[in-house]
Amino acid sequence: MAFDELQKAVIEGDSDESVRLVQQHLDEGKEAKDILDNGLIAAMDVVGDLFGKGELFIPEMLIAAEAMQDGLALLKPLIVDQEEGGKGTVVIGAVKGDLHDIGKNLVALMLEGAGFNVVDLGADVTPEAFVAAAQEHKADVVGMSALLVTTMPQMRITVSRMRDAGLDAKAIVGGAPLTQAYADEIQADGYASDAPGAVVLCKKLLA
Amino acid sequence: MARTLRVQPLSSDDIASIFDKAAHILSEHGVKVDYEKALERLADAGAQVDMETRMVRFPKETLDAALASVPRAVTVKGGHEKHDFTVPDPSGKFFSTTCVQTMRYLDPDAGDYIENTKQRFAEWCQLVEALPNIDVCAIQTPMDAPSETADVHALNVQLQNTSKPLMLLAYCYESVPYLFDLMLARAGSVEALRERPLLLINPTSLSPLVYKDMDMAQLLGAAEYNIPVAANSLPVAGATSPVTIAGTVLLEVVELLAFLVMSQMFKPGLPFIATVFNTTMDLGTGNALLANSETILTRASVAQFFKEGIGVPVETFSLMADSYVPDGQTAAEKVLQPTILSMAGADILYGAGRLGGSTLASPVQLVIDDRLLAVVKRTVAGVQIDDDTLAMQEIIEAGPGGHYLRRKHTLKHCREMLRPDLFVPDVLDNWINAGRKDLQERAIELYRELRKDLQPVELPDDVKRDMDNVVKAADKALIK
Repeated sequence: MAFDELQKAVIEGDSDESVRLVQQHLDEGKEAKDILDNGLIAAMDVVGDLFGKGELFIPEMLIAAEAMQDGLALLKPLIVDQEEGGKGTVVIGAVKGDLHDIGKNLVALMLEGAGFNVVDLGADVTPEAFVAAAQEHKADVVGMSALLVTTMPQMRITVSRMRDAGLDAKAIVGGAPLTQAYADEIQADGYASDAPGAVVLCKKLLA
Repeated sequence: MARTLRVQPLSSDDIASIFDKAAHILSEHGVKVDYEKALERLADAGAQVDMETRMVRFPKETLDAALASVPRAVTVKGGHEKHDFTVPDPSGKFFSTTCVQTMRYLDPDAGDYIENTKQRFAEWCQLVEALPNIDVCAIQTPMDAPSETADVHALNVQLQNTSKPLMLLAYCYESVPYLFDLMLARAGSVEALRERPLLLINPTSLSPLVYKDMDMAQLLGAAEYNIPVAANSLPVAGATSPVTIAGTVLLEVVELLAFLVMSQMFKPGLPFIATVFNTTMDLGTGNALLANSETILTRASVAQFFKEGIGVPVETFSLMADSYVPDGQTAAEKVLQPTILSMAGADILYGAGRLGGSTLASPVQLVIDDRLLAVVKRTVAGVQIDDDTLAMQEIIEAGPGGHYLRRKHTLKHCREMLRPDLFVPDVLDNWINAGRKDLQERAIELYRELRKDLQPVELPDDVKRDMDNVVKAADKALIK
């Protein structure tokens, strides 16, 4: 198949080879979108599948995502109307008052690995900052994370501000004190109990 | 005297190497302290502080001074002196604490997971009061309290329902002053609180190498009121610390030493317990594991480092589980951890009542853990070897084919054996005839029996009123 070697390079996390092969395909006259969809994104679908089966670990998935991004860098100037990440744009952050971000970081990395364009606002993010970023980046999803039960109310406020601003973006929540029941109560569009679940949720919401 | 069993993952060279590397990181690279008031105090006390980047380095002389002033023993005091204890204990025995932040219980009456509430948490605290092997009662998260002030409400519940020492940690920066006000309301005066601190306070580092405002505010408050500090480090190996056991050991040592130095800078002689709360990320799933082998070895190494290398008391995550039900996995995890960790030197074992994850507990598991702790305690206490216990004369006199049942030596010692009331003491047929009850069923029966006699703490009405008023003030100020 045309992009077998490129897919292999991405799956194995070989950035140099990914870049070389993308350039080779461009030199051969292949369309940038074709290389992206059937080479790079297809490879990440395989990566996601292998991860889901437990055959790839997170660091291996992340290095594959890096190889994908390095190859993508060559294609970006050539792709006019394609969304940057292919699957959608996710704005993500830990809510105001909460500095705990490892869970959020893991979700961000895994979303990137799955082909989403991720705008990571970091920690201690105000409702206003979430809304502004969602508007600026035309976000499809706004993901909010909290570790502390005392910061969870910021999620309710952020969801409300998103609706007031007329945003279409889906609001999703996660973190140790979160539950589906709380997500329903604050009228979020979804809740995930772990990072892989967040990826599945984003794919489902944007299908 | 019996020698407490010991386990030593580290050699003395290992301890020296870890110390040198930790001291290097602290003096040449530093940690980030995200609280201006603390930065000013640290600079005054001799730390090298960059107010713009908030990076703090601790020159060697500040580490030396802190190690010289930090107490080698800590007396932990609760609401009533009958529950006070000192770590390390001269006999080598350990103490225990329950689990924090519990938001859900596995409830035997509901047969399912139910939300924690102030009423249920009150009952939990009263149950802790009644259990002989549980020494400290940790703060939880009643879900019917306002989110913004859940910690203040929870501390009020603790103070009014157990007189054992408490474990406290704040859930946000804004509530810290109200937590201290609540302690003062219970104690009656600053002098009384300094004399009887009521609790251990648990500032927590944000791994790697960051100290948040709310934790530094707690540390400063502890220094002001002389409250013993059980400062904790919670790195997740592979995510917020190196993936290797030794790498997480080193990072955790750096974070705890930084806390130790800061505690002594704020108040030389402030009682300090190195509190070891690391976990491990399962890099196949992203889930943080609380009870796996690598995690246990990391905790044991850090415990040994601080006991042998530094000489301060140690607390560790010790009764954690990665299963969400009280099954065989939970049982295995809840025996392996406390056995290894107490032998590695842990003075306080954390986590009684915990089921899997970080927000689930079970009052029935609390009862089981209480009994398991007695088993572990007895096992690691070692063997008493002396002329009486060797019983040479008994062996000679009983002779070949003799028996020991009627001998005076047997009579003298016959009640020394530990006989856990929750374990099966009987033959198979008797157990079958008694209903074939397994550990969980027997524990539920015992829990229901204990529950009949639970009581809150008796406090004067004016003290309770003052405490309730602090909670109301917190609600008024902090609920949006």
